Amino acid sequence: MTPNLCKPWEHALSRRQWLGASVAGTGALALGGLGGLVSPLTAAELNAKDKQVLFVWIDGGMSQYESWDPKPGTQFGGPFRQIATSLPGVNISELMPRTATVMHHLSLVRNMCTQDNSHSAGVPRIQRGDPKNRGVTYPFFGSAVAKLLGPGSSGLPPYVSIKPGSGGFHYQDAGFLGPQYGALAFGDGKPPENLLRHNSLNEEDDVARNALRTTLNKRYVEGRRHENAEAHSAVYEMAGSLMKRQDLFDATKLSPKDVQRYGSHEFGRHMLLARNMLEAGVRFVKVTSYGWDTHGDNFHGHRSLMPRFDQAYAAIIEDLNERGMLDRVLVIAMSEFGRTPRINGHIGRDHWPEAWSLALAGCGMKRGTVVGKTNDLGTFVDGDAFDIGHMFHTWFAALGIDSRKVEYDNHGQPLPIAHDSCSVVKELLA
Amino acid sequence: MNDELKAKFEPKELKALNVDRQLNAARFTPCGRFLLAAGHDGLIRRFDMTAAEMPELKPLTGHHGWVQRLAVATSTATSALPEVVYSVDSWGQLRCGSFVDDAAAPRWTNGSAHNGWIVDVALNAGGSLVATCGIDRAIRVWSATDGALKHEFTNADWDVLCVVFAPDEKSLLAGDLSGMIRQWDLASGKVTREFNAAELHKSDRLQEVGGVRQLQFSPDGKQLICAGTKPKNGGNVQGLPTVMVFNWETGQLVKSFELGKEGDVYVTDLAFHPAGFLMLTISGNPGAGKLVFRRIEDDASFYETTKMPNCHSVTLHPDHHRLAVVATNGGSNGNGRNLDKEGKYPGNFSPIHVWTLPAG
Repeated sequence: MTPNLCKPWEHALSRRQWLGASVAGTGALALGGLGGLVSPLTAAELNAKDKQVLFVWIDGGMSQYESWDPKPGTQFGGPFRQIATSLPGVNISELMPRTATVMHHLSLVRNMCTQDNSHSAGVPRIQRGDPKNRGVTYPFFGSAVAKLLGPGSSGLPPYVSIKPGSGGFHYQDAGFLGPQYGALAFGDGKPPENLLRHNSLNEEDDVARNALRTTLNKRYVEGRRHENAEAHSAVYEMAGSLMKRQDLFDATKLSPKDVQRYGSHEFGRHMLLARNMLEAGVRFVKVTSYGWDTHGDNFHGHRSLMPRFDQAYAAIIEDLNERGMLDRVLVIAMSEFGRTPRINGHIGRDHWPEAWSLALAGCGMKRGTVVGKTNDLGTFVDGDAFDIGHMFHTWFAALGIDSRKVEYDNHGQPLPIAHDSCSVVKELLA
Repeated sequence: MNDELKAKFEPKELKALNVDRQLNAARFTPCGRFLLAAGHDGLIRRFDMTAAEMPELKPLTGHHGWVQRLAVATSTATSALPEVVYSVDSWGQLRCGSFVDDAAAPRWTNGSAHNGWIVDVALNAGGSLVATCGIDRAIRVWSATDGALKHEFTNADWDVLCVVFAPDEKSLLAGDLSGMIRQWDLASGKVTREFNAAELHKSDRLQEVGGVRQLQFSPDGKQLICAGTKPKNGGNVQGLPTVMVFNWETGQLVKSFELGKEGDVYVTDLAFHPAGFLMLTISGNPGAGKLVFRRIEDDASFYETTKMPNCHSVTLHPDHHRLAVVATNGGSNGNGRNLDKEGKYPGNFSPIHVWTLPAG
């Protein structure tokens, strides 16, 4: 039920394999084309270019009852209580005591109603913003931001993914934008193996070798689509930039206090790395947590999962705020759907896209607000519901991108950057 | 299968008692007049077992969240207070009240016995002490008579999932999420022995899965039985329902056996029949559930039925001729919007299957 656990292309990654993957990506590029922008960004939008995104992907489906939208003492409420937060009148699950203290920084959306109740359809569809079908594969939000805002001045890859298991270059994330907008994934938060120049190769020879590669590339692309070479070069440049920032992955440089605050568990380590990546200027950092598909033993499961999420999530909100970064870093925490009100015989909750919650914070978002609500039992949205398209419009707006004006150019085909039947949720914006 | 035992003890279903909500556990009262059931709705359901139809009586109220477990004296002779049930809920309340009179005030309650979900409650054989444990990682022992706190052990590293008093009543056994069972000496407050059941636990990504879910002594007090699952993974938890048997005197693991496939997952409850066999309920993937009869010394169970989906509790009537199993309705799972015929969103419920047992 968790198809994202191990995709065939997410094999153990070395620099050579990573670069090889980029070549495969350029092959795919010939089919999809390299997207451009029909309407260029305005000066104001360009000023937005120091904005960043932390996208916390809770893969499998976090239960809204055991997190953002508790319904204690009701038929489907489960065993847990709710607790007050730093935002008067707003309660969340008792499993999130630390997040409760930073709630005044958050914007909570409790009326998500989306289309898919399966992981296989829901995971990509949600992360691509569920646009209208126009016969193309839309980019994941990370690829979209990498394209629309660019890599920034850090020299680091614009879209990195920190995830359990193996890493890889996820060019598929980019859809029609082209592979260079894919995600560079650090498996278990580690850099690609063999990233550094081998000891047997001195710097002079390495430079000469790269010059030869560039020359050969130019010769190769003569008469061919230039986008392929651009994509290939972009990935080489990513490798080069990472070679210079090995310190980002050096666990010995982490403050023991920070390690304690974030937690020594997988998610804590990955969130702390994410903070360092954001501080280093990476445009879009995605952190994935697996294991949330709690069809069985949901309550002991969330009792175990939620405190670890809570610990690291609250820590990064605190840190971004204290560092003055929260005003420019948009933090999104979400799953592909919520979990059923109904508690099955395995004391689990199944998939529920009908009424679920997500949490936002930071850049452009109104701090300390709750949008939407569910009915008393939590079964369905009470009032207006939002689809993922609404969120894409809102996120783009928070990043200073006008989703009604800016469009992709897919080889002459103008494409909206978010679902054209959805719109910005103004009450979420600062 | 031991055909001889099966012939002697094969049960027959008498009736299914329908309850409109889900239940966690059921226990017969020592007098045999009532069947009590702990609900997700904060109620303790009661059924009159003296009537052929076993009608539902007014429930016992006063709890919040889930009523998780119930403890009653093993016989009318061993109860410090007559006709009471000790019940715990997921909001931290321990309650002692009459199981006969639903309108009676509780004998005593403690609304903050634990910080949050109390997962188990146990009564000592003499009926004088009540032990509780929960996700606040505390173990507490209370006077059964007035609810006074007698002992408290709060330095556990893991959620404590089950408790049982030792046969001599001088110590307490507590099983935790990590698969460790610790013997706490009541007088000194120290751990005097540990029993390793770590195979009932697995760390899977962010999730700690399984743990010691059941603890009981054999009727002769010579064996400590613990049960749970050998977890394969978290999330949609899969695992082998497993029973581990320790020699109480030596502390050695003498036997471990599995009672199903990975989808069967947890041993959810167990009870001893005086003829010397265990009655166990099993619940795993929705639809997967079993009632199993097995002698510890045998290599296989002698009776199993998969007729009841997702069995969560078993209790033997004091007459030893009736058995009740808390199960789950069929079709309890499903992704997305599944509405009933009236267009309403349906909840699940827990039929209580009452069986008759031959005299044996």
